[in-house]
Amino acid sequence: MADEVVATRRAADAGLTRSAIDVPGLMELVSGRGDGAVATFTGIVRDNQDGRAVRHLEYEAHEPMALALMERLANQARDRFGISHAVLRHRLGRLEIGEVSVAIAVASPHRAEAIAACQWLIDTLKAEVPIFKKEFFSDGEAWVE
Amino acid sequence: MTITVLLFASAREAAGTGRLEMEVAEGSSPSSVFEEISKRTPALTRMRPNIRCAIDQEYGAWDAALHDGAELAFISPTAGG
Repeated sequence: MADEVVATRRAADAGLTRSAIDVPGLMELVSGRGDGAVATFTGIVRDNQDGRAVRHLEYEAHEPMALALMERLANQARDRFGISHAVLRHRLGRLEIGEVSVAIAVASPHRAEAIAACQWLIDTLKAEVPIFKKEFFSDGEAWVE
Repeated sequence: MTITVLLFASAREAAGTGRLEMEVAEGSSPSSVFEEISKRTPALTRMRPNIRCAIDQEYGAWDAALHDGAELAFISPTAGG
């Protein structure tokens, strides 16, 4: 399925999209001939929050700031972990249960750096990147704040 | 001077808009602007401890000096992923 990235910055290291994220496509995009490892993190929409049934989610973002920060994180991951390349994609708008909300792919010559960078990227993205999530339940809705 | 204020998530819903063009006094800070918009939308006051501010798309200090034309974003708790 096409990864229709609504806005990207150079080299498409970071992207926000309103259509499905193509994870295998990201793995292909991120890796080069010198890489022996690609680590990925894929976040998917869960059907409950602490046992309360979730119907669907909506994400919104400060889009230009989120994109700039995600690209900066990709660059920082290269400096901190010595990886070859990292790419990040996040969905916006309405997501159904089971859909991919975020995907990160990291390539490096060996596995340890790729795995460590991938973990750091998703943790830092969650904490720093201005993306906001609203959960819709059968009996109400709430921002995750 | 004129600034653009951006609001997101619950703060956007409380204020009824995600974007405000505001005329503010020289020397205004994110803190003083937040106080100003909280007068119109008192529900924002209780959200303040969990909100970060960003000036021209960089996280900044609440007491920073705003410049004419600045974009001031109030960033609600992030929940990407």
